[in-house]
This record gives sequence, C-alpha cells and structure tokens, in this order.
Amino acid sequence: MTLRLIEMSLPKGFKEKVVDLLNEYNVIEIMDFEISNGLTLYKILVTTEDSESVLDQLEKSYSHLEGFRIFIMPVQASIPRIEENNNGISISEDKGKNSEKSERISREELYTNVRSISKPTRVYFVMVILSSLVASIGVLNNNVAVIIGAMVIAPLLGPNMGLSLATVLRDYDLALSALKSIILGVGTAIVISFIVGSLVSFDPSIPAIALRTDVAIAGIFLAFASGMAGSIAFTTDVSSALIGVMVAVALLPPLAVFGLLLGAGYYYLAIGAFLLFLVNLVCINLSGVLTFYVQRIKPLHTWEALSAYKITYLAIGIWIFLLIVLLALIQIRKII
Amino acid sequence: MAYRLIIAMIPISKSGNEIDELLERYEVLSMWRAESPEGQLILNILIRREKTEAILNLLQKQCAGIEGFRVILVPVEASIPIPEGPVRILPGEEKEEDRDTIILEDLVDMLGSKELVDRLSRHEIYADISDISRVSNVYIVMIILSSLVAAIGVLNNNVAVIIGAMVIAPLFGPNMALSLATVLGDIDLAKNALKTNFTGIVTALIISLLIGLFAVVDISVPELLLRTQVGLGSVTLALASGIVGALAFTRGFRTTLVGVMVAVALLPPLVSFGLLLGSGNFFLASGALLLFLVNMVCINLAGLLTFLIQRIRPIIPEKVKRAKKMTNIALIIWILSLLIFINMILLRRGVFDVIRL
Repeated sequence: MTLRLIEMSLPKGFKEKVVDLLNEYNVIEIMDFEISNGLTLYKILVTTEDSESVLDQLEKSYSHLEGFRIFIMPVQASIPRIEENNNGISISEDKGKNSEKSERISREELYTNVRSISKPTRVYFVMVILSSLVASIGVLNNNVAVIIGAMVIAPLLGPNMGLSLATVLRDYDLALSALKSIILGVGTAIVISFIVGSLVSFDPSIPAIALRTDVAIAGIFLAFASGMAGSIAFTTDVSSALIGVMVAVALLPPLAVFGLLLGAGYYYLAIGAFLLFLVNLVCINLSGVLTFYVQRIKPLHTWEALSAYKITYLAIGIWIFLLIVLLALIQIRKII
Repeated sequence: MAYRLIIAMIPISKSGNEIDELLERYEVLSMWRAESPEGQLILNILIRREKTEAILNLLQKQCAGIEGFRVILVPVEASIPIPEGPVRILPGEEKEEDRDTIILEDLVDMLGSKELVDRLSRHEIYADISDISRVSNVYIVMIILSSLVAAIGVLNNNVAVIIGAMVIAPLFGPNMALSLATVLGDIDLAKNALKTNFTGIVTALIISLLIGLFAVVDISVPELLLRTQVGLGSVTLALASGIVGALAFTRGFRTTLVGVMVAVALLPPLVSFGLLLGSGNFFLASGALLLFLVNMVCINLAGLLTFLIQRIRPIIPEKVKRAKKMTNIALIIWILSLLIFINMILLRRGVFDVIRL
C-alpha cells in the first residue's frame, strides 16, 4: 500500500463543506492552511488506491471555483503506521462506501505519466535513432545483452500506451500525438536500420536475426500476455515490472531486423520480421485497451464516459480485425 | 512525474515582494505564499519539471547566503486541471551573460535547440548522480558481488546471469558523475567520482583475477569470446548508448537507464579481462581490456557532450571559468584516448588476421 498527498487550493470558507464531502471516503488526514490571495490550502492524505475516487469527487464539486488547483504528490512513509485490514484501510464502518475499490493509481496520475512519454519530442527522436543503432549493432554481432539493452531503452512502448489510454479516455489530442509519435518513430527506426543494412554486409542466418523473421502462434500469446502485464505495470506503481515487459515483447529489434534485411535485399525474410513487429504492435495495443477498460479507467463525466465506451469497443474491434488479417498474412507467407 | 513543487523558505528580512515580482516573469503553473509563525516566508511554486532550473537559479542568486534560506524540490504525480500548452519562460534575466564565448560553445548553442535543452534542473541531476557515486561500504560490497555474478555468468556462458550483473552496474554512476563534475567545474564531485571509479575497477579486477587463477577458464565459451572482440561497431554502440544514458539522467527516465547499463556494460569486459589475465590468455585479455576502455571512454565522452548540449552550467562566476577549463581539458583527453584506442583496434585486427593466415 502506498500513499498519496493531495494538495488543493480553494477560496476561503469551504472548510466544513470539504470535510463533510470527504467524510464518506477513506481519507486518512485532512489539514488546512490559510495562504495568500484569500485561498485556503488543504492537504489530504489518502492511499493510492483511494486517490481516484477522492480526486473525482473534489474535481466535480469544486473545479468551477476561482483559484482551484489540485496536485498529487508521492509519500514515502507515514508515522504512525497505517493499519491495513482486508478491505485496505477503512477508518469507520460507513466510511468508504463511496470509495470504489481499485488497485491502481488515479487516472490523473496515469495520464500525466503516459502523456509525458508519448509526445513526439526531439528527445524522443534522438532516443529512437540511438536505440535503433544499438539494436542493429547488437543483432549484427549476435550479442544478446546488447539487444536486450536496446529493448529496455524502448522508446516505442510509451506512445502505444498513450494510444490505448487516449482510446479509453476519448482524448483526441493525446491520440493524435501518440499516433504521430508511433508513425514517425517507426519510420525513423526503419530508415536508420535500412542505412546500416545497406552499408554492412552480413549473413541472415545469424541466430539473432533468424529468431526475428518468423512468427509463431505462441508469439501472439506472448505479446498479448506481456502487453497486459505492461499495462498493469503502468497503472500500478511497479516500474521495474515494465522492464521485463519491454524485454518480453520488444518492438524495436524486429523493426531493426526488418530494416537491416530490407537494406541488404533479403525481402522474404524482411517481410517475416515486419509481420512479427506488426503482431507485437497490435497485441500491445489490444491488450492495453482491454486492460485499461477492465480497470475501469474512464473520463470523469458520465456523458463523456458513454462515448468513450463506444470508441473503446470500436478500437477493440479494429485491433482484433487487424490481428486476424495479420494471422492470415502469416499463413499466406508460409505457403508461398 | 512531469511536475515539481518548489518549496522555498525565505526569512522575512528579505523582502518577499521583490521575489514575487521577479517570479512573475516566469509563467509558473501555480504559486502561493504563507507565513510561518517564526516570521518565515514560505513560497510554493508548481512548475513543469523541465522548467525548474531557471527559478531555482533565480532564488539562489537572490537569497544565497541569507541565514535560514532553503529550497526543497518535491516531485508531483499529477495536477488538476491539466496545465495547457507549453509554459514558456519570458525573455529577460537569462541572456545577460557575458559573451566572451569560445567557438565550441557557440556550436553547442546551435545544436542545443530549445526542446533538447528541456531537462531536469541542474540541482536535481546533481542530487541524483552524486547519490550513486560515493565510495561507501555498500558500493564496495555491490562491486564484489556483481563481479562474482559476472564472472560466474561468463564462465558458464549464461547470458541471463551476465545481464543480471550488468543491471547491478555500480560502475555507470561514477562515470556519469565525472562528466557532470566536469561541466559544473565541481572539483569535489570529480575527486569523489574518480576515487569511486578507481576503487570499483581495482576491486572488480582483483576478484576476477583471483577467480581466473583458480578456476578453469575455457576460452571457447561464446560469451567470453564475445567480450574479447572489439571493433568499430563497439565504438558506435558505446557512444550511442552513452548519449542515451546521459539523456536519461537529465530527463529522469529511470527504466531507460537500465537498458543503457545493459547495452554498454563496463563490468563484464572488465571481469573477462581479469579472468583471461589470471588464466594466462594474454592476447584475448588485451581484447577484453580494450573493449572495457573503449566503453568507458565513450561513456565519458558521450556524457560530457550531452551535458554540454543540454547547457548544464554553473552560475557562480569563478566556477564558470573553472568549468570551461575542465571541460576543454576533459574533451581533449577523452577524444585523444578514443583515437588511440581506435588505432589499437585497427592494429589488433591486423595482428589477428596475420595469426589466422
């Protein structure tokens, strides 16, 4: 169980209302301070799991007020220690009935984390270029450790998570910037590895390359399972789990192998690598949308939530359709 | 965590209004002030994490040396409402530096476009890096254990174990610290980093030499051989990963860093060198040593260049001069040694070809 400190600024005179409002939630502590400009600052200590319901309630009730702002800060520890019972913490019997039980960080926190890694910034392109170089060299030298290094640098995972989150939240801006990052990032990686492939002569039977030119059905389950684990890691606090996911269902190495083979003129093998990349991409997105949907990550207002559901179902349909098309292509390629 | 909260405690004797006016030039997301009973002014400033440095600099310049002045920087997970659009710092304040610049700095300014310069504040990077570059008992224990792990992984040809040893990676931090100390002109940090580096390398070498002396080292093991082969690809690889690593430090990407540690690992080549030396395979040992040195030089060079492009600079005038001097010297040393190593790689390859013929 981790804790979050919510700080909220409001105009003066809401103290009792705030305390009343939060009475029904699992709030560990509320403190208030007078600050400048006639505002009051509230400091509210909650568990990470309860933070979303509290935040939603506060935003719904007060976001129209002048001077309203909330921010959420991590808390390393708290003294006295907070007792934990089976239902997480609950301070009294009827408290907590409004708190929806979830085992994830709040939507706002997830959004902030994901948005910052799904934007097509220059640093992102520098990362894509450098990690494609690292992956290409690793593959050509058949050096597993280096390939794994390139997998973990994984600049492409963020935008895909961004796209899934944008789907369930119906956020067009995030979706656009994530799509732009994905398309430009993939293009950049292909160009870099294509150049390396056309300059260096290599043998396509190197194990590291051969491994990435064929898609087995098991590969689809692998990508799907790791994609889910990755989405869950994003929605909880376990960032070390993400590293494992990045390695298990890597996007960059198949892409680099595709570029290398294309550059060297091995077209049949190149198509295999590209199909593997696409399968991984589709599986990550499908499992991302599904996981976020199951974890009930949805927009704050009900009317938005309804259309978000529609978009989510549509997206799930599209991804499943693409996956089937890919499977058909893989079979066709084998026959040829 | 895309935001930071700056909490500044300023004794009231320093007029708070003056600071308020100055701060108005920066578009902070949110700011309020409170007064503590002891007559301290407490400023709370919410800001995007890439934009903290300008404000920290301002506070430092205005209030440095005042009794009771302190600033703490706290991470913020999220903010409601979501701040819209990029928060730009209004012109002014920044550009009053004296312009007796050298050509290198102009070049760096041209390369470092606004967006690439977005990064954590110097203060935060410093706190992160100096934390992992100290010689402590824990550090030495980590070095000993990860050398053992790496040696066993290499001898058994077990990639997973080798990667484990890479991620423990206690050698990466001190090298980044050295680069940071150079661009900041911070002699204390530089000394500390050098000491840590030296201690780490010597410890790892002793451990692996001992193992090499007593264990049976089979030189046909692929993972061992892989760490004796060094080519121009290794140089590109190490430079590319070094830049990614430095970027990860300055932007606060923790997981990326793990990837870098694996891609341009220092420990396995060093341990392979010790093993081969201990077992008397001198030619192969020289390859491992060369790979280790190339990786180390490339990490330092990449770190230095990245920090330069990201304009990490001290603000105290005496340190500015020292930093320039240290940066120039370090650049010359690293580039020269890289050139020498590239030469040796080419020479060694020639020797290898002769042997094969």
